[in-house]
Amino acid sequence: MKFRLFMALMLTGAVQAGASGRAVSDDFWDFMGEEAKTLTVASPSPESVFSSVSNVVVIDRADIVRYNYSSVSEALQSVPGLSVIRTYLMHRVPTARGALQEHYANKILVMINNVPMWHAMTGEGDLDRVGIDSVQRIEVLLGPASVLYGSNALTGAVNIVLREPRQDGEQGGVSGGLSSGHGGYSGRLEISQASGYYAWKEGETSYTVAANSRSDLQPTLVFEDESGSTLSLKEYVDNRSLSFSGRHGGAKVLLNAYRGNQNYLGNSLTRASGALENEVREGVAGHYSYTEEPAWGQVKYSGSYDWQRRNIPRDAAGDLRSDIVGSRLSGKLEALVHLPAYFTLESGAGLEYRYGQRYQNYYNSTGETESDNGLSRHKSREDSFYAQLGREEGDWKLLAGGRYTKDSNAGDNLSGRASAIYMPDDHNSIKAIFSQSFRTPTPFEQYFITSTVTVLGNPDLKPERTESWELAWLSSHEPFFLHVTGYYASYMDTIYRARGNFTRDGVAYTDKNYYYNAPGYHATGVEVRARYETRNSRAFLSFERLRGSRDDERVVPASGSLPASTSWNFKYWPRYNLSGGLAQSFGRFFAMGNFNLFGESRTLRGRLPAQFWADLSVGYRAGSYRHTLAVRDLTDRVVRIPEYVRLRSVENLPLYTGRRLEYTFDYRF
Amino acid sequence: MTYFAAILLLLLVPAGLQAGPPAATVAVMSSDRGAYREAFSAFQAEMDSEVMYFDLSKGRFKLPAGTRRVVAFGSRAASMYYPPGTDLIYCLAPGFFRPVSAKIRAAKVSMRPAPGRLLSGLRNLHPGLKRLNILWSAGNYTEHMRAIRDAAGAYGIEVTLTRVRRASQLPSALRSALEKQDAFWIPPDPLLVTRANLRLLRDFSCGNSMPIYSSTRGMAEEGTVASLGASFRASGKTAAKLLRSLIDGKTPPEMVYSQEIDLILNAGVARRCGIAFPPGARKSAAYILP
Repeated sequence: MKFRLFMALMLTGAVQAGASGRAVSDDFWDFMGEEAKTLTVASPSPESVFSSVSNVVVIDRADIVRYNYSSVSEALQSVPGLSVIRTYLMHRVPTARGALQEHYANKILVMINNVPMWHAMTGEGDLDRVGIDSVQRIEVLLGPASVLYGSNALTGAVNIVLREPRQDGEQGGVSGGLSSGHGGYSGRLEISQASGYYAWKEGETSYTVAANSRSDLQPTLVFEDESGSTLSLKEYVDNRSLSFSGRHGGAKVLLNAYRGNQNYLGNSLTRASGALENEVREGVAGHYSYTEEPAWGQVKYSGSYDWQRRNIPRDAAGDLRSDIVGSRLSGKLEALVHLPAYFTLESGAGLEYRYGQRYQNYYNSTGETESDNGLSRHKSREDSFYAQLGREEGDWKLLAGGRYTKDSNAGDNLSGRASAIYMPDDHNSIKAIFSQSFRTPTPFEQYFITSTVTVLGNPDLKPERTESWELAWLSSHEPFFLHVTGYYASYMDTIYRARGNFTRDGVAYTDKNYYYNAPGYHATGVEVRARYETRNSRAFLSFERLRGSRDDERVVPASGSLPASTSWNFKYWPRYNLSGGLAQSFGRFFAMGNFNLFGESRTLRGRLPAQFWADLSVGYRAGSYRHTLAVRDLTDRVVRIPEYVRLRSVENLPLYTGRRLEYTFDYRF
Repeated sequence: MTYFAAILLLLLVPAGLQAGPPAATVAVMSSDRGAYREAFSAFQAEMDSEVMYFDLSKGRFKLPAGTRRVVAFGSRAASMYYPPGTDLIYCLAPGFFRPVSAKIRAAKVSMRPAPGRLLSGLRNLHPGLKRLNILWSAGNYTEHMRAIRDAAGAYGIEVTLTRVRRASQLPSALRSALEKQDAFWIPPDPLLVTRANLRLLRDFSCGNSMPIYSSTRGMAEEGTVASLGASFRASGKTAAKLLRSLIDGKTPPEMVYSQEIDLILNAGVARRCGIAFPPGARKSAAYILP
């Protein structure tokens, strides 16, 4: 029955792949598959990391399990150059190389199985579309990546790869957890997670179904909002997701649905504007691709649909809310051609329709619309074409290419990249990479306008752009692995919200918030990731050092009795960040610890000392069962990060509010 | 009484232990299915005794006290930790070479023929062979491929080595060598030998009437025109002979080649691709696939 259902879903691909036939000798393929697995695992890092034309960091399933990461966000904290923080409008905002994401997290592209997923109205991606138990590995590309992925891969890309069957047959697992909830480590236990996955594979046909429910509750914190009111703040992020991925021959299908609840801090960081009320996020996505591999190369066509909704409170009662809905429909045709003399040509053309369905303020109790914010049924289209010429022979791998993009509302963009990789042996790789990227302004940034004119979109916005030069060295000498990157990055035409006089559609507005392309800024930095892996031990240390310019410095007016100040992107980012982890097995017992150090940083008018947080877990493994007890935020301190979006009286925000306990069990079959 | 003893033994031995009493020699298999089982069966038959074994796919194991020799089937089994002083013989581990250690004396049974045997075999199979391109991927193979290249001069063959680091390089490597080579040979490299790659090689071979020779029967079945190598069974038997010489106090070399080398011809592929075998080849073949 399962097989029939799967076959129905894969009908198109099955018909086309039917000619490939079944293997003559299953024993032979089982043998080769088993041996390939051992040879791949024998390397501390997949060869793709060494030979990739991009600077890539991979967090694999073993890392996720051994370090007991509870979410994709937590796992990403281990990547040097990438931090997951929060703004007053959003939880879990990934930030690459200190390039801050503003009101909406739209500068880092979030993908599932290489399929870009972001909100058509605001451009933001969501790291919680997939629970950590559904994840096989996370691939992180730091730096501009538009030639590969198009808009929004401005400062980086995060690709979440779903669980895959390991071998022919059935595999699966379930897990559950209890945590101490809002009461902190002395609170009563609440269900923190429930998840399961089932995977099946036979020959060239496989599928995985994964369901995940996760509730991250933090101890209650007394918090003073922008109006000076004291709030009893309960930070939480709850997510439920369901994913299906399958393949048959060259056909692949991906389906993902998720819904999340999280606490909100208000549109203006006040109780009166919705703080403490619940925000809802949900989305549905589907993707189909078919790949043919003739002798001369590869042809792939794909289609995707991604629908997302964000519903946020706007008043103290949670009655006035904003419903933000958008969808994207895209199709791509890509080809890889093997040319003589070790050259390859990779090219593709894509077409994407974006539909900003609504950004509607409405009253939940009556359904009455307060404002459509000028963003009802907004449509746009993007056409793009890319080509890359590569050559890989002996120790060298070279690649150069570009992408041309034409957006119906924001004009065109041409981004390029060039990489040279030298691999003198199996243990070393040196990469020199130049890359450019862009982000198309969103309908929100271009056309938003409220009846009270609190914020104005700017139809004349240009795409924001980045450019980076990187030099990376990767070296592995079992059991050690080292990855060092030095870079220079510049950020141009940054889309930013400013306050002042602004004219739109012939109407002059005085002292309003409006969007514009801000002056550029730049940064230099070094990222180091060192790993140690043996059969029973695993450790890593990630270090980031960054020095940013003040080219974008601007005046922030006085707020109430507080003095005026100045602000620039890198004001709020530490010069260094450090994270590390250690995992050790002792027979059936195991223990692991992770720590993060967010270096000393500035706030709008002051300084924030370095913030430290750590998790510690111990556990016991018996056969297919695994029991783990974790203490999260071990030091029981409130971890704070600078508030850099609102820039009024609240100068820092809580990232973690105190110690909590969590017990989890896993069962695998 | 025998049954009673066997049942008692099964109850007492640790999890993962499959059969037999504690002994100085144990076998460790990556899995007790398929190729590994076939090789282990031949190994036991050659030893003419039952050897205690562990199956890694069923979980961890603990070597019995007093174990002095381990015969590993598969690279996962070969790469395990073994106590210092253990003598290790491993087979069915293509592409894997255990690092030389003063603590563990290890000898590998190769699935490939010895360089001279390979080259002479290819020469018999392809009398006009002057230029041979060897394709591989696993980094550990590099030195061994160089050894074949160095030995090729004596057989009048010029060998070009092409390491394919990633699958995407394979088409370019084939195309670039098209005008310069008479044939390709591929070792049993698990990183290169995938379904997609073999399909590509088969299409290339047929499209250009360029023979691609391989090293296991499975590869010939999957579309290479011929293979020359040791069967799983022969590898197991060779491991047994090596073990016996070890027990006799001889020091084994780091690499041992099986003397039982099978030539497998895929007549169907040869016919479709317009490749002809010399008259004597069919007589020396162990199998001719239709």
